[in-house]
Amino acid sequence: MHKPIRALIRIQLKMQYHNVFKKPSVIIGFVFGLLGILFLGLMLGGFVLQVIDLIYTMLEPSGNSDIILGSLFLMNFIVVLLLSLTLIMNGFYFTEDITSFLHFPVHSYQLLIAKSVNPLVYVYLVTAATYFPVSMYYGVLSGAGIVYSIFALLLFFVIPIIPYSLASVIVMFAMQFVNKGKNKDRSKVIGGILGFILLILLNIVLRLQHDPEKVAETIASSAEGGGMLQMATMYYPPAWLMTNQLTTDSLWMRLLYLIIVLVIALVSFWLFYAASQKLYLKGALGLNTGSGKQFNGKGLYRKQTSVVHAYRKKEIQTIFRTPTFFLQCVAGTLIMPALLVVIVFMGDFTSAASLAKSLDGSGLYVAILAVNILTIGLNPVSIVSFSKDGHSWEAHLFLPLKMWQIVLAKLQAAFLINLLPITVMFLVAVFVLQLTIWQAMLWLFLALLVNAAVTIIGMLSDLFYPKLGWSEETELFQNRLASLIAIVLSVGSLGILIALLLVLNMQMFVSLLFTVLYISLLVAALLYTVSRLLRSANRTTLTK
Amino acid sequence: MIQLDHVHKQYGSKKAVNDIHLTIPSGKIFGFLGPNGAGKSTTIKMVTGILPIDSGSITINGKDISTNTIAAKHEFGYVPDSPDLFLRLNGIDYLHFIGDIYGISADDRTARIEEYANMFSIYEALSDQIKTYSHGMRQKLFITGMLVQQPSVWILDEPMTGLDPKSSYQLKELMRQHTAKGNTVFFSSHVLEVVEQLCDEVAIIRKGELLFHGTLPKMREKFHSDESLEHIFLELTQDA
Ligand SMILES: Nc1ncnc2c1ncn2[C@@H]1O[C@H](COP(=O)(O)OP(=O)(O)OP(=O)(O)O)[C@@H](O)[C@H]1O
Ligand SMILES: [Mg+2]
Repeated sequence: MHKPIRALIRIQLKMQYHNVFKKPSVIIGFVFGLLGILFLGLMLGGFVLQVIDLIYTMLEPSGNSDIILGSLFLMNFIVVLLLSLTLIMNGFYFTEDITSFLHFPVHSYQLLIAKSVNPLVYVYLVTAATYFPVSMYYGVLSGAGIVYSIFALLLFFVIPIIPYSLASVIVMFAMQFVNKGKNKDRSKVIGGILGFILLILLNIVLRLQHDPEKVAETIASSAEGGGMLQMATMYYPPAWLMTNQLTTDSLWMRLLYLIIVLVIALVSFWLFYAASQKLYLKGALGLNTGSGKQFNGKGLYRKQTSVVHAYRKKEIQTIFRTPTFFLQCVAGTLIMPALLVVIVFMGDFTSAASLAKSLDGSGLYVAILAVNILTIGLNPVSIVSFSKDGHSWEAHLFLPLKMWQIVLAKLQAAFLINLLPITVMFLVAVFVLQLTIWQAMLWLFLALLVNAAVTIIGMLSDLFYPKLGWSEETELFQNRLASLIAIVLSVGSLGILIALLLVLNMQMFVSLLFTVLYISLLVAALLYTVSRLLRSANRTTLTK
Repeated sequence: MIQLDHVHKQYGSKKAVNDIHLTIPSGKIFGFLGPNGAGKSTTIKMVTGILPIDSGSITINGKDISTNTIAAKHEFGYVPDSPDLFLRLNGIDYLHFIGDIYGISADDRTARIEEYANMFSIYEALSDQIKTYSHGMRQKLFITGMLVQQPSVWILDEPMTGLDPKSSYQLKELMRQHTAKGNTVFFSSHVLEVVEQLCDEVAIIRKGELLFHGTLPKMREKFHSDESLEHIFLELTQDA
């Protein structure tokens, strides 16, 4: 019974991680990524620990400080649940390789346990990142001993199991119905957009005020007498159980709580098992892509166009028709504007506008520029310029295409696709911030400038570190050195510009001239690099 | 006409193609035979510019693929052995893409798409993504693309594998018509019958080395007197 699971897990891990750590570039990327996460963690972590400190001192006297652990377990539950929804949807249903397993004589649950290995690694990492600092810090504050630490460690392994199983049951249940539509591509897009909406909701839920004392006060003031923990964990009893497991004095009670928690985890695993056996295949079988429509001659006659035009069209069609590319490069880029809308609408609507008004000319100018850099600079569309061709890149080798035609068409395509988020951002800015016509034009102009620079930087990074040997499009958006370089380069080079503008503190018009000059020089330098590269590089270097 | 001039190719320390010297003349259907792993696809990939040549040179209608790349690429059309390219495009989009790349006028390409897509019975599927096509349909789409392009040199890597009898018959007919007009057809196969029916000239390759090159009658003659060739034939017919 366990043999197939082990074989399946081994093949999963091999396909995901084989050779990953053999290339130095990957290791460098990994180290940088880790450093970045550490940096972010320290920045955020300091804030969070400060809040905990305050809450603890405030609630300790009334005996309510265990609310910290309660909220921690609750938070972990929500985060793992939301994260798992997306991971499971992709891992169980939307990867192409799932079809290659369906004909094996293995039970669904065996396959799904194997398919869970990668998501679980991810989920456990995320849990560890939040759980250990907070629970350990709480232990230090409350002067807990070694028993606390051991149980805290034990609970760590249990925490993700419940939300993960729950999420898989939800997904398997929902996918039965999605599969009725019988269109994998479409359900992929729908699933992805749902995921984004959930992320935005999560963002709303988790939006913190940036003043530790205020946060602590809000929580403390709502605490009246004891029983606060029950209140907070009403909707998720295991959080209450786990908290008591860690805070009760009696060892027997601790063991009892632990057993109850373990039973709940087992039950949720059993739910996972039952859902796998009963529901999985109903959702997974026959998720196919064909429209089944007959060609009716529409589009049979088309005007002849230039090579660059034809190629650009092919690029845009590919992006729009590949769910992963569509989600990452089109729908995903609309998230930032959407988040901005959410934040502005949630916050004081009029104050956002008056904030914009209160900024003096150059202040507003820098703000506009910064917002544009952040929203456009993170768009991956140009970073997968070459990589998204994958195996099809081979066609460039026998088609009579010149490299400059390919590069130009790819740049144009990325630039054009970026116009979508730019337009959304622009509309948001104009209507919500109530910009004047001149400010609006300035916004648009700066957005286009930034777009040009960012597009070329992304394309260059991809040219240097292409990844053509993928078997799943999603691989292009995970741990890629090219993305890291592109983001560092664009945010870095444009960040220098912002710093210069802030330091020099010039008149707005002078700032504008300065920006145009700076970005033009940047673009010129980039284009020069591209042209040098095109002259020297043999195209086949990309085939690696 | 395709000219291979002492071509070598090595993968790491492994010699995949070793000193192949070959002329594929115009007006002839030229079959490239060899067992699995002989180096057929590797040779074809060098001819089409997909793989760099280690040493030696290749010209197509006198244009060198390594130095006069774009001009050489305009001379031929290529149907790859695993037709899994541009999977996200619709069939019709792919054909227009090819039309634009090779500069085929709107009227010409419309007529050709209609004629050949119908001939190969893929017309009705043209609005579907290539991803949803069967192996044979993909192959026929790429063949249709080549027919839209109408190059003088056709290069096909195992074109018959996966085609149904009718399509395979039609492709053979088209090959004959094409060479009758003085053009070149160069295709690889490891199926002896196809080559015997169709080819005017044959080259046989094994382990990267050219074992035989000549006309069909000459091949039959040699087949009875040369043991190694007979051995190859055995290998070929066995895995057919
Ligand atoms: N990318 C590659 N890397 C390393 N070795 C390769 C590569 N491609 C092919 N080879 C090796 O080169 C040799 C020739 O392969 P090739 O694909 O040209 O054979 P083939 O004659 O087309 O065979 P088949 O009839 O199976 O298509 C084989 O031994 C193969 O292992
Ligand atoms: Mg081959």
